[in-house]
Amino acid sequence: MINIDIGATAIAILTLFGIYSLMAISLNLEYGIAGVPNFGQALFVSIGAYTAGITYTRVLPLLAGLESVHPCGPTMGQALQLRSEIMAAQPLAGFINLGLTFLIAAIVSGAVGFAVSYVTLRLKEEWFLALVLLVGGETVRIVVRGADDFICSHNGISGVAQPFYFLRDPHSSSLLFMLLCLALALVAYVYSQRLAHSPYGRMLKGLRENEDVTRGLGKGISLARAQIMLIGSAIAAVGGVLFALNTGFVNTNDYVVNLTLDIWVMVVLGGIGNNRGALLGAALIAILDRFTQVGAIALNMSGSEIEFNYVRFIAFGLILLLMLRYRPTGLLPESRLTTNAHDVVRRAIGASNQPPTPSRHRDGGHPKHQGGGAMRET
Amino acid sequence: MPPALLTTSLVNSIQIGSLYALMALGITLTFSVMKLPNFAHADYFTAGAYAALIVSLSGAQNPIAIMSAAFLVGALTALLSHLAVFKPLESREVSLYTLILASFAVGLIIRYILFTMADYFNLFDLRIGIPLQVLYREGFLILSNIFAWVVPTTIALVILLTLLLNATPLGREMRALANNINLARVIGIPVERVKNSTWLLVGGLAGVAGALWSLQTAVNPLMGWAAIISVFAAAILGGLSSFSGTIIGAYVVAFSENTVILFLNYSFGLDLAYKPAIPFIIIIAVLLIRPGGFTQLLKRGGKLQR
Amino acid sequence: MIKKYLIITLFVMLTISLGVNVGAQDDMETYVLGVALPFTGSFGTFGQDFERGIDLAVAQMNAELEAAGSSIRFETASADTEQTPEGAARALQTIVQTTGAQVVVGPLTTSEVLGAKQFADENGVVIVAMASSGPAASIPGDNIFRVIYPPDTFSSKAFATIALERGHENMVVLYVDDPFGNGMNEQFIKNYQASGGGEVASFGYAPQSTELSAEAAAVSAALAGFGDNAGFFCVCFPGAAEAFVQVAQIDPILTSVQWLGNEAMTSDEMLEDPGHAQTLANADFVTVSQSADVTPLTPIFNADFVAMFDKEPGIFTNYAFDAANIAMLTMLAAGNDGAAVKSMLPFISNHYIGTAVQAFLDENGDQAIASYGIRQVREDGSGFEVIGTYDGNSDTITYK
Repeated sequence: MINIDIGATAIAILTLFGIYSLMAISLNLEYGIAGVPNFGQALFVSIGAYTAGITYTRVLPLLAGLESVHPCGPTMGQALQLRSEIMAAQPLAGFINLGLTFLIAAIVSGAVGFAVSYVTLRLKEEWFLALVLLVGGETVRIVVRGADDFICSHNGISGVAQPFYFLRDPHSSSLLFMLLCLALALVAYVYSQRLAHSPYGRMLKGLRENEDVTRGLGKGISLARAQIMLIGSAIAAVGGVLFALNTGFVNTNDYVVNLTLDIWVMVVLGGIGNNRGALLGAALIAILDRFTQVGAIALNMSGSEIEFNYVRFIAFGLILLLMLRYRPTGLLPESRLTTNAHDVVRRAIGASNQPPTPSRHRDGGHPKHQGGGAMRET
Repeated sequence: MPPALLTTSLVNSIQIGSLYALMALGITLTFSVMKLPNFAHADYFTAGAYAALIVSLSGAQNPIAIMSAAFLVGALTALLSHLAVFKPLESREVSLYTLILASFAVGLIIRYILFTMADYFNLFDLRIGIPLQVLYREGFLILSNIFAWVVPTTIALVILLTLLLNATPLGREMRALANNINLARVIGIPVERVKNSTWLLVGGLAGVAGALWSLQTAVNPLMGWAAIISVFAAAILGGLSSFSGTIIGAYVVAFSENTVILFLNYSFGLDLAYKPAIPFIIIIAVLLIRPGGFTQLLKRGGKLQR
Repeated sequence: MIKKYLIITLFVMLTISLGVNVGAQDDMETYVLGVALPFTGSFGTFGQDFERGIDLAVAQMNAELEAAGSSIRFETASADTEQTPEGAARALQTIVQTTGAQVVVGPLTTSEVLGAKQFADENGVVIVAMASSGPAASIPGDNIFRVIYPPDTFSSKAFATIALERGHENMVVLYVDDPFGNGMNEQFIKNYQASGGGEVASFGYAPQSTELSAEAAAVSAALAGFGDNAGFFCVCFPGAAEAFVQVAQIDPILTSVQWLGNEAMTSDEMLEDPGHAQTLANADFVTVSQSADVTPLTPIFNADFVAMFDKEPGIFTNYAFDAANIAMLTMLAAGNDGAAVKSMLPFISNHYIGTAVQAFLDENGDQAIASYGIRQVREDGSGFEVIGTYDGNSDTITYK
């Protein structure tokens, strides 16, 4: 019997939409605008989650004026009870702790992103960076899973409650948490829109299109790339904190390569280089995931024998391939960049009745990185 | 390290390194000729392993028949993925990352088709029905019949591949494509035909590797995906351009995953559960320190070589 | 643009829910039993086998309810956890928000259970897990009940006792590096050494490994280092277990010692390969698992399962059957209400005869009675036979 709770479903989808949006905007800034192929998004998201695991066990009790208990081993249950009680009874401590978590996660992740962007200078081919980030994320995951000091290794940290938990009413607390996620996503969106349309953002896009020209104009390339990696990684980590809070559990099993691929799919679906596209991609994935699951439940209840859960993955792959094949620019392709000066010039030469000169490649404004040495500074 | 442990782990390194080599050669070929880092390669391997398993379950225990079936299925899967996905994308001149994403998607589809099939026919964690036997034992050195299948087959295939690449018209054409595809087109090389043949070869190699892998361990739909990073590490050690470099790379990766980790475990107490991190660290280190892999040591230049 | 999509989404969902509700019969009351299990990934086969066990329980219950003239029927709503904690949380959310289910059977592993915990606690949904045994989820007062399958404290004690009885002065352990494997390894070492055992060398292997030759070499070397009278204990999942036995069968040291192994090593696939079967037979392989014939329900379950699905139930499938029965019985008594089910489930559970063992819960909502069968591979490798029983609560072994 399907009996959909529309309010709760909408809240769940919108919460995921907000969290995915942060991740997609982050990747869109890094790849779509600055041209850094970050195949290690799971790493930066996981930094946020692990930070939450650490602050909830080490900082939160101190903020509440209590002594912290070692979160792992024999005192595991005691530590869990302690943080649950604080989250339920002392909302202020919870909020300060959350603010600190965002701050630490953003700083750590931003620093890692900043450092990583300098690594690119050493790499022979640009896509090597993609691979280094991909395996770097997995390496960190394996180390955190094996080490006791961060999040109790393979056991993880449970009871990482969202900050409105103290209301003790699932509907209002999940609604408020949804608003928090959406608000942070909105801030990230507005910020990245401004960045993309600032002279700085235009320079970055120019850098993405043709490094030599931009360098010829005297723009500081490596620093610009590093700055955008810093911002993008910080946004991903904020998304990671919310991702962990939404589940209430921090565990290394969640931050595998598949998460990175999901974020890439969002950006590619929506339209690379377009922040609104990133939002659309995030919304589509959040909705598609829920829809296919509801479809699986409905099919199962109607007595179908098909193992729909395998078909879900096949369908996911097919949708991605069809998109790449027929709409490689995404659903919302990147728009042409215009400036006031551009308009003035156009008007002056009377170009208004001429079609604008295409300045983009067919796949969303990306140069083909097929040769070597594209990112080497010589 | 006790001598028994050293000997056993070296034998394992050679056996597993041979399998990595067969897979990594395909990755190197795809990258040189097609300019594509293909993550779906893992699933050609799994498809080959399932072909081998099904032939074996249907009664044929002749290794040649098993490997031929695996070659055929791997080759056809690869060709199909080229014709249906990569070729149309290449003709639209998409970016490299679009191709990488597409290769992930192709791999996902193959993997879950295999899952559906394995679920329907109950083919999880089965092994080819050729029993493991000891062929040779001298002190600590133990060689099995599987070893005797895996290593000579690999050597034979590598020799055949080298001959094909250096002594046949197809090999010359493939090298021409690897060097400069536009030039190759201008001088009248049938580019599409050469690409199709390359895909058949690449998929077939992966298929045979899958068949040999399923001689030594159980077959399941995730087996290729589990090995892909090690295989990429091997290909990257070879600079993604040189055959000899790739083969050395494969043995180095297998050696690190078997002998080095055991040495670290024995001497410093490093947990064996860190084993999957080894190929990752190799990749990062090579790309940062010596991006040309062994190619730089062996020969100057980065073209498709022996 | 996005707003438009969302409005369309909500509209479609509304239509679905209205459309389906209209079709339902008014005089019947349907209770939805949620099922959250990994249907994909490396544990996908487990998930699907478990679902069959649950389907059997539901079919039997509905037949009985119909015969008795009751107006209540059960229906399952199942979602895939994708074997990750976050996936488990999403699966649980979807089930509850789509069907209004108040009781969910599953998920499988301890980390999935913990992933689903927050949502369950906040929304008053009861989780009845059938196979999670890691100590990390032993939490008093929460909405998670882990019925039938007791924590590994019991079986690790049994393994330690058997190892000592067999005269193993030292032990080598190979374990899967996850909460289950680590917990089993730690508790085994503790119990073994507390009862007078010697040194234990343990090696963890990475979860989802498909190739274990380095691990086998390490185990073999450690056994050689201990000399005679050492034993080997494998805490491995299916897949990895077969890969291990495959390389172990020509190792001169591993084939000359006695082996112990966890229940997951007794899968059908293991003995299908004659070489593997012979290796285990030569190693006097012994496992401690829920006994095959301690309750009258066991043979009935097996026969019914074969009758319904035309195949033997896989390992642990009977636990899923039991968990579904406990959940449904509680719902019949307490109604389709999470809070009432939570308060009544221990009472019902403590009055339920399982297919393997009597259910009884401790203060954490975990199974508190452990009665195991000790099973050994037959000499010809054709199957397992029960050679004794282990009573976890009195810590005694009785051989047949």
